[in-house]
Formats: sequence, C-alpha cells, structure tokens
Amino acid sequence: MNDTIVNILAECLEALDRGEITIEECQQRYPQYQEELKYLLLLSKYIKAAPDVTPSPVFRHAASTRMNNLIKNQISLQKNQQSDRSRQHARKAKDRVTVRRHSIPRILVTAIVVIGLLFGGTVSTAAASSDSLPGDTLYPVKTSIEDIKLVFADDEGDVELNVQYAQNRVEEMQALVEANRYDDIPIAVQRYEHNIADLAQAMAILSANDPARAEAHANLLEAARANRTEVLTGLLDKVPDQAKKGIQRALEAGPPDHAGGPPEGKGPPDHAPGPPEDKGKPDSTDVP
Amino acid sequence: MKPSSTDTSEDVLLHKVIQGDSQAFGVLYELYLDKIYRYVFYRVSDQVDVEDLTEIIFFKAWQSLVNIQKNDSPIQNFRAWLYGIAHNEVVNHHRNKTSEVPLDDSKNLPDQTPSPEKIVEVQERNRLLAKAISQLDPDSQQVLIFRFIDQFSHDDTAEIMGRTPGHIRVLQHRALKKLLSILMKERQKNE
Repeated sequence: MNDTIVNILAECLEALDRGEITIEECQQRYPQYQEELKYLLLLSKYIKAAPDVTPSPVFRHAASTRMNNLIKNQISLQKNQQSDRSRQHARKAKDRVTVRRHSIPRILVTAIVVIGLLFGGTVSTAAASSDSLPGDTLYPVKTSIEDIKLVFADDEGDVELNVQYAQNRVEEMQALVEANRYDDIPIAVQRYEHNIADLAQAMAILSANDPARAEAHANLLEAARANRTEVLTGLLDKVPDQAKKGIQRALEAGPPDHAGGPPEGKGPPDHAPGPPEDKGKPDSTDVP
Repeated sequence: MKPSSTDTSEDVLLHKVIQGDSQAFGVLYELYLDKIYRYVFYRVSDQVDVEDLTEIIFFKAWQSLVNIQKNDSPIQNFRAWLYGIAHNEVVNHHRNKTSEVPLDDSKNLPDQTPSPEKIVEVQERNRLLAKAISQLDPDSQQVLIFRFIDQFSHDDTAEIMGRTPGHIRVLQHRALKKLLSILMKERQKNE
C-alpha cells in the first residue's frame, strides 16, 4: 500500500469537505497522482451526492408500532418474571423460617447421632455438619457430636475438648460476622458460655484428680483464653450494636479458674456463668 | 414511539434506557432510525431484508440495554455500539443467506424518494451504487458508508469501527479503488 497516496487522498477529502479546495486544485497540488486522485475524488463526490436513503413512511409507522409492542410485551414479561421470582423468594424464606422454628429437637438429634455412630449410618451427615454454623439446620448435629465425644473422654480429654469447642464457637462467631448473620450470634454465645462452664468444671475435676496434669494444662489454657479474648475483642468493632451485647457476654464468660480446687458438686463452679435465661433462639433469628 | 424527553443528550437517554425507560429508547430510535436503515440498505440488497434487519437491530439494542448488569462494562459510545450491533446483524444475515443472495438481484431495492419525476433516476442511481457497494468486503462497505454516505470524519469513522484513523485512511483508499473497479466493469458490461 502506498502510504503517500493514502494520506494525500485523505487530506484532499478533508479539504474538500471544508470547502477549502476543488478537485482540480487537489490534482494540481499533487501532479504525480493526478489521474488516481481525479477518479477517486469524483467517485467520493458521486457517493456523497447519492439521494438520501430513508425508510418509507409506511415502514416507519409500522416499524415504530411493532417496536412499541415488542418493548411493551418484553416489559410485561419481565414484570411477570420478577413477580414470580419474588413469590419464589418469599416461599423459600417462609420455608427457611418453618425449618428453623420447627428445628429437630435436640434429644432427637442426639438419638439419631448416637444410633448413627453406633451403626455407622450418619457419617456423611456428621461430616456435613462439621462446617455448619449456629442457625443452620445441621448445627444441632455438630454440637451433639461434641457432647457425645465428651461422654467418652477422660478428665484430661474433657479439658482439651472443651478448649477446642470454645475455640470452635469463637470461629463460628467470626464466620457469622463475616456472613452478616448477626442474629445467629446469640446461639454461638450461648453455646460458648456452656463450653466455658464445662471447661471450668473439667479443669476443677482434673486439678482434684491429677494436679500435675492440671498444672501442665495451665499455660495451654491461658494461651487459648488470650487468643479467644483477642478475637472476640476484634469482633466487637465489626458488629452492629445489637450484636455487641452477645460478644461482650462471651468476653465476660472466661477465663475458668484452672487453679481452683475440686468442685463441690456436679454443677458448674460458682464463678461460671449459667446458661442464659432465654434458652431459645431470639425471634429475630427466625427471619433470614 | 414519540420522543417525549426534552433532554436529547445521548448519555442521559442511554442511562434512562438502562433503567428501563422505553420513552428514552424511543428518542434514540428516532435519532438513529434513518442512519441504521441507510447503513443496512447499502449492505443488504433486498428491501424486505433491509426493513427486517433494521427492526431486529433496534430490538436487540433495547434488549441489550435493559439487560445490562452493574458489573458489565459501560457503553462508552452509543453510536459506535449501535453500529456494532448493525454490523453483526448484517454479517449474520449474509452468512445465513450466502447461497441464496444474488448480488445482481436489485428488483427489491427500496423505494427511496416520493418525487414521481425523479423516481426512476433516483432508484437507478441508488440501485447501482448499492449493488456495487454490496459486492465489497465488509470493511470496505462500512468505510464507504460511514465516510461518504453518512459523511462522518476519519476520526468518527475510526471510533465507530474500532480502528485507528490511519487504518481508516488506508481502508478508504482501498475501498474507493475497489468500488471504482466494480463500477467500471459494470459500465463495460452495459456498453
């Protein structure tokens, strides 16, 4: 491609558009391309002079009407689809609320888990429940499995498991905050308080039965407590006011008195907070 | 579909259409109907196809605009975007009708001007020009339509076609030479 003629043609066309030059003048300015310029510029003039092409009035009117109808039909269709989606969402939300309100009774879940563990039939359910969060349908399965493990643990195992479970609760609270599921935080807090109370009791029993092992766990417990406090304090800055109260309660639930003597009875030590007065989940948690 | 908005800024209209305002689309439709019709006319040889494609182009434009999602990249230039849809539709049309479109069939070319005195002359001139342009490759067709039918500048043509102005100058020179060659051959045939 000859760049020179390309640019000369473009330059002449622009000058012609501005009315600054005629075809003849352009030819004279570039005599070496005189012939080619003449034909190409005349052709461009011929194309420009072509009568305007416009849609016929009949087509214009008919097309406008058809376009209007198509758009109206589409808008109507989209509105119907949106309406259908809204109804579906509402139905799903209602279903979720129903599932939560009629959650599987804890005793039944425990029974299912026990039977399942005995007969090996609920391995997949148990595995699936491990990632569940407070408020999820499988969450009671997760906590029931934890309870069952405690039944079969020795004194030292009790301490270690309760430390681990308390940590699980803190991680659940973190996950709930990240998922903006603030309404489910009280469930985790309630369970956390339960774990801390159990930990205090387990530590008291271990101290009575094996002071040396209890002493060996002291540093572990302190490190775990410091970690939980740090995480919970961090969460306080991230949650809205309605969730702060729960996190604050969790902060006040520890640490257990791991240096304390043996418990006087089977109940939790005096300093351990008892279960919250409201054993059920707040109503607001029923709303997804 | 009568324009109802007093604000004819394309960006404002575009924003309204994306929100689902069909009246704003009506304004854009009126602004571009003739241009798109003309663009299709010089690239498609059958009147029925020209009209059908023109309608399809505008309906697809409407569908695309109202289905734009928040994450989609914004339309920087509505004119270039609309001509892009038109180009794709013309290309698809030719692809689908390759075996059945006779380039020298001009019986169905649209009636252009209502003037009874000049109707034969005008039809003949447009028929010859459209027939010749329709034999060119798509780039040449587009550059001739944008530069000489719509009389856009080199820069505007480059923007619409997504090329550099330098590339448009090259295409323009090449397209004019090809068109000249076709017209001269036609003339020789007729003599």
